[in-house]
Amino acid sequence: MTSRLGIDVGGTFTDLLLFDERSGAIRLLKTPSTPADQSVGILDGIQQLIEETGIAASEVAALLHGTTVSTNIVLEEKGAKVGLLVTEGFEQVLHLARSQTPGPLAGWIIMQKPDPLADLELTRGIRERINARGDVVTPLDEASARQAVRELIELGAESITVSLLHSYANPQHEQRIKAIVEEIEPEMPVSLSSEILPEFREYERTLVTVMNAYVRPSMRRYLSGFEEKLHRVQFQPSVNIVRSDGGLMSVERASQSPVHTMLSGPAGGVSGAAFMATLAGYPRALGFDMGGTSTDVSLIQDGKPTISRQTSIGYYPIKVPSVDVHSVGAGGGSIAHVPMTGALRVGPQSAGAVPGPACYGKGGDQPTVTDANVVLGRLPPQLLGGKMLLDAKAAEEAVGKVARALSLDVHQAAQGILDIVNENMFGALRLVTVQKGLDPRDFALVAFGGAGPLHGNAMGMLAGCYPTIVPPTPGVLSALGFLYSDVKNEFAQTFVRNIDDADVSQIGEILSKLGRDARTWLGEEGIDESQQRLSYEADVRYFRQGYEFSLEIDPNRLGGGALHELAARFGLAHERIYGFKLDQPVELVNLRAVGVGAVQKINLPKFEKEGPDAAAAVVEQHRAYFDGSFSSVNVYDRTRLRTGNRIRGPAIVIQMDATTVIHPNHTGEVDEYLNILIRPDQAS
Amino acid sequence: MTNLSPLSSAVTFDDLLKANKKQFDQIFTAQTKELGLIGASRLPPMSADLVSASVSSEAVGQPLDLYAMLNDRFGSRWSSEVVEHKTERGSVTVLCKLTVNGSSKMQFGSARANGDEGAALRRATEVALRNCVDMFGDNTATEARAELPAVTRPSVGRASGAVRGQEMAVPPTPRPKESRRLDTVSLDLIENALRNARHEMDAVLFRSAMSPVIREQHDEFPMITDAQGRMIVGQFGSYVANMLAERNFDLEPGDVILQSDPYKCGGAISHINDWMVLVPVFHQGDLVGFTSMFGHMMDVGGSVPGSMPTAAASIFGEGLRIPPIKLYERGVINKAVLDLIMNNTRTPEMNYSDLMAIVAGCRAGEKRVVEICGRFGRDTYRQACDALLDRTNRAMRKLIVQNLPEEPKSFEDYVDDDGRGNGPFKMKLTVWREGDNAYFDWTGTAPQAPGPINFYLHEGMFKMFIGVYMIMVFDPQILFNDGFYDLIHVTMPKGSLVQPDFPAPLGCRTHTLSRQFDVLGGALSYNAPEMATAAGYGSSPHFLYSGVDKAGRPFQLMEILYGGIPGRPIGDGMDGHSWWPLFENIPSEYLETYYPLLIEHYSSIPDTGGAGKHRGGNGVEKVYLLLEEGEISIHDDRHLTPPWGILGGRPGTCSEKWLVRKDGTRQPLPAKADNVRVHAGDRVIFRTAGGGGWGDPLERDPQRTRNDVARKLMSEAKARQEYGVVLSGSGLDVDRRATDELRDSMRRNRKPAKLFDFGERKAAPRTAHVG
Repeated sequence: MTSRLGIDVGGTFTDLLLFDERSGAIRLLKTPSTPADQSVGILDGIQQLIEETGIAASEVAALLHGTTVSTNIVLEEKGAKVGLLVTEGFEQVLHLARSQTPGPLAGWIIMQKPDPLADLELTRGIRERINARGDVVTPLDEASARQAVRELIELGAESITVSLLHSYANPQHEQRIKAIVEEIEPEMPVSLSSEILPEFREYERTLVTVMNAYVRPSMRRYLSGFEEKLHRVQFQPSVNIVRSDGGLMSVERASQSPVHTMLSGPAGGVSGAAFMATLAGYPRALGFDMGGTSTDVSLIQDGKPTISRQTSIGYYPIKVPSVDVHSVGAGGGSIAHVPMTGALRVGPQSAGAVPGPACYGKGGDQPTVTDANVVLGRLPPQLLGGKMLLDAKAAEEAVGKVARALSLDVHQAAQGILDIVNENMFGALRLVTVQKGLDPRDFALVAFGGAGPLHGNAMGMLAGCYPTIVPPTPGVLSALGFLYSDVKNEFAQTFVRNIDDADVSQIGEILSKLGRDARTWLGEEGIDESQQRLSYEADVRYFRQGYEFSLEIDPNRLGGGALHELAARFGLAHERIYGFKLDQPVELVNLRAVGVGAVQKINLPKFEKEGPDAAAAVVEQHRAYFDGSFSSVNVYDRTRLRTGNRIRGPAIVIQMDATTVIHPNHTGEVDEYLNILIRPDQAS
Repeated sequence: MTNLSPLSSAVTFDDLLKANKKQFDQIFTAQTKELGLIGASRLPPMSADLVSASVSSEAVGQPLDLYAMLNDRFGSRWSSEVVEHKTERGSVTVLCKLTVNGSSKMQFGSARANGDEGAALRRATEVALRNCVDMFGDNTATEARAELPAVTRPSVGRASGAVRGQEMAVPPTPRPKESRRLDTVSLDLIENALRNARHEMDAVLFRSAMSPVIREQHDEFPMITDAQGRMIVGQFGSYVANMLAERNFDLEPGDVILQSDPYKCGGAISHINDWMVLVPVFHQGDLVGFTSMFGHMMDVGGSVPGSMPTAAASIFGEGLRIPPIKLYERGVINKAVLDLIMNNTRTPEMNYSDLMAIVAGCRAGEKRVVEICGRFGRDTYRQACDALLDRTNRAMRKLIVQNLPEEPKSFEDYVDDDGRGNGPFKMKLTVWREGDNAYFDWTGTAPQAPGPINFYLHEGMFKMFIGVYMIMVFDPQILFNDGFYDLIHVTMPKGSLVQPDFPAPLGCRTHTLSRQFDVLGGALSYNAPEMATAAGYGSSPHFLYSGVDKAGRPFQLMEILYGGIPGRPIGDGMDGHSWWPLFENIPSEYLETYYPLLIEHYSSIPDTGGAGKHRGGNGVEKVYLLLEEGEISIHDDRHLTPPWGILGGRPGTCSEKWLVRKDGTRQPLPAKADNVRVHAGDRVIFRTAGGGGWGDPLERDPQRTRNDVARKLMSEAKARQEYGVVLSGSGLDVDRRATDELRDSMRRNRKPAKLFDFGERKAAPRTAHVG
């Protein structure tokens, strides 16, 4: 039992990464995804891995699974029929949403708004009322609740959600309604907003609760099917599902709260990037994950990904902890075109996996970023270990269309396409830093994803982010990141109080209850008590401000001015992030316990330093275009590169899952974890 | 000239053919009609007509002659472009534009294909260009030659997507290919970099602004202009020239100009709550442009908190006005002026941090523009600005020709009252085009109001509204800047609601601003009503509640409500949504946490959206139970004049407000009221207007009407009476047969629908005195 298997299911490919803890050997496998049932593709991949490596199924101790099942259900509107019970007078909470229409001015003319995930036909108002302090204003009318539950069941509700006003402050009415549902229909799954997201703002809380119920049946079906298939091939590892914040949870947990898996894949990538950047000695880094249709940019500080508690899936804002990624519609498949204004535009339309870039030879004839890379020789037509031959002629023909429309030659047009897409992604890099008052030049850049290493050096040049780090498995970094994750969950409770009026003992009680919840959860996840770590946070803000941020708080040291110390820390943090602080009362908004169960980590092997000469890794020469002309450049086989090797640009490094470009006047150096660190020559 | 026959190498016929075909069909029809090539039909012209009506291709000489002749006559000052092309029954017709010294002529040319469409396209282009040359006459040639400069024409150029070999003609020697490539791509890079810079301005502002109005509701507007003050990227345009005309500043690096007086910038900002900052951008001592932003301040003094008194009689009653002043001079802040300003607001701390955030945002933009100048070269940057403006100009010409009527068409709607008991106020807009120039005339609009609903409309701002609206309706892909301003001509009568004389009050202009969009939409819809929308809830409903709570703490709530979005070509209007972008409602749980009130009901009101194939959105009803003594203010409109429907769609329902006293007495509240005294236990019922419907309600899918009823967004009675949909049983199933029969009989018995349905204007209610 010495191997761990990370699996990342993407839109096009399913990545498998098998790590042998004894030898440190890593094996990669990419297999086509099977969207109808993702587990089919995974099992194919596992079979292939077994065949190729001869590994015994029993040797795989842990399987870590990043999944897009729940995201797809929401985006494709294929979820369950959810019944919703709310406070009378607020039946349209999901329908009215936040009343927002998109920009710019007159953007409402083209807005597409999906119907609520719980149909208004399946929504009922219940007579009851609790106020912001948690006091009962109107007692629960149980008869009307009973009546409503019966109606929903009659109308075919497959699961029932309850989201009453201020239930975060007092969940009694929600709990009573749950009991009523269970009396009437014991088998009916019930979700309470006070359990799923006990935080204020009724739209967001109701939405997350309903979304969870909406994806739950399909997720449960998927996961039980998956486990069953594993058993069929005598595979019995411990299975964990990756959460949107990069933590892990058990299959059973994931079946119960699938809403926490919405950004499972990107979370793994960022965790992996943070891990590799830290190993390379750069705990401040920008994650640059360029895929086929989009690029995700993320901020890594102190070796940790930034966690956000508000993200969105399509139209829906969802308030669950997630790795903070900023997406732009620019990727290898982005299509270049010349609209009627005569501008050169790249994306956001993408050729996707089908038909894909012209050079894939699958019927695509639109020029994409990948085609531009082929035309310039940056992407050699025959990829090492790859089964696919790229059609350079088709790429030239496709890019030629844009070239003619712009009166350029095909190479100039290809260069233009790359320049434009790089500029778009550069905008995203600036935004994630500038928004937080940071300077991108203070960060390294981790380039990953299928197309990240092709563009990473160019991004480093634009943004001044050095070194540009290309990890050893850039195309499957998500799967690697999974192997480096901990079991994790958060328990939060809204508690809005002015810090001057707050009752310290009450805060202590809430925190210790949240801490108990976290420990119980970790225990149920099978985490030994010695491996459990708890931390506590308070969300704090100025009185009546519409936004807050999280600060650590120690429940054992609450007395003696601890809250004023918290307020002072808040002022400092506010000044650092927003540029000013105020002479205003500070208030608590949410209290939170974060439970982490340390899982045995992989230890990437460290290699002995060898000489700088990389000549042994050169496999061929290829003509590539840099700075306006073609020249012959060395093509290196990544697997033959050794620690300490230095690669002078221009150069191309090929490997199964990605191709790295090193530009002229830059040098890549292989570090002891086999990362390539690219720096400009004058600085090295 | 190195490339005398650009078509042969630059563009294949297929490429052109794939250009936006639908758009071409429209413009083609319009143009040929304009030229008298075809009759009033909207059908594509017959090729035979076109060939006979245009110069025969046989008369054309060798292509080399044409381009040599162009060079000979116009030197480097010409450029050409195939605007559109079409092939029909073996003939190719093109529309070409020839630009000489900045003025352009457009002409058609046509040629028979005889199996080789590429060759025919070339010939047709030559015909068209010759026609253009003829239109310029001899004078232009002389002028152009006389002005033939020693400097080479910059080659940033207009990337036209069609014939462009000549537009960068650079005598005496052609520029190397390499730099031409750079220039074309640089233009797009600069555009992207500017767009990123604009987003960065926002990011910096949101990061450091304090008031929720800016930070959460995003009531702020950034832009980057060229050295003449023309907006290159941004949301609102072209006030810089007005602002600088007011005060003849010597601009220097480090200067920051602040201002908030609508009357001192031609209405570029339209009420005194908006503070505008302008930063001149210098690159190595040369002025290369401006960055500017304005944002809404929570309070700028005056008689009521929030500084938008509904009963103001002049702008002096509204609060502090700041004329254009240098807040910073060469980087040094004018502390005295800042103190003076902050002494005149109820929220000095918030205003201060918001103002500094706006300055920081402008500075971020400044930094980026300087960086771009350094990266690409200052001259390249300047040329790129011109080229970007020109791109939008060309796109807008097409939209104008396609979508505006040649006969003047007028549209009227009303703002119901001014908060001082006067009204209604007519807004009348007449629209037509002459060639590819558009005319918008507000003549016939009511004289200015005694109350504060006057909307001092800045000409540049109005052009921007027109541009945004047309782009959203007709082609959302087009980028947006000042490039089209010279195509649009605006008339605004002085002393009218849209051009009031100083010192008319302006504080509550949002209702007029909103109505302006209804009128603009109506006036633009005559030519292509199927692409237009109906009218929406048409105001900015505000609820304000202030007082002192039991703990002795003052409270002051300002909430903006939303209403019915109009029925639209792509579907129903949203219920209870905001017509202004990105605004959000305030969660009831938030309101109840911070203010002494309980929200008893918050949902959309069934049946208030106008019936239509795509129905109007419903207005919303919010019921506030007030828990403390205090005062309330109300701002709203559309309480007398319903939001109209279009293309057979029915109007939406008007707004109304009620005060229900603790003892149950119910009294109507006026649409605009300040300082109404309230007591604990009183209730306010705020009902906003619904949106108008789009298209014939009898064509609405009965299943969707059924869903509306089942979802309690519509009554069964309305489904039957206005949609002819008969439902049966507790499951509300559509009775198909009964529905078909009912719809047939309704069709037979009704009058033919007009383009607009304005509904019945309500009589002004007798509002009891409240307070």
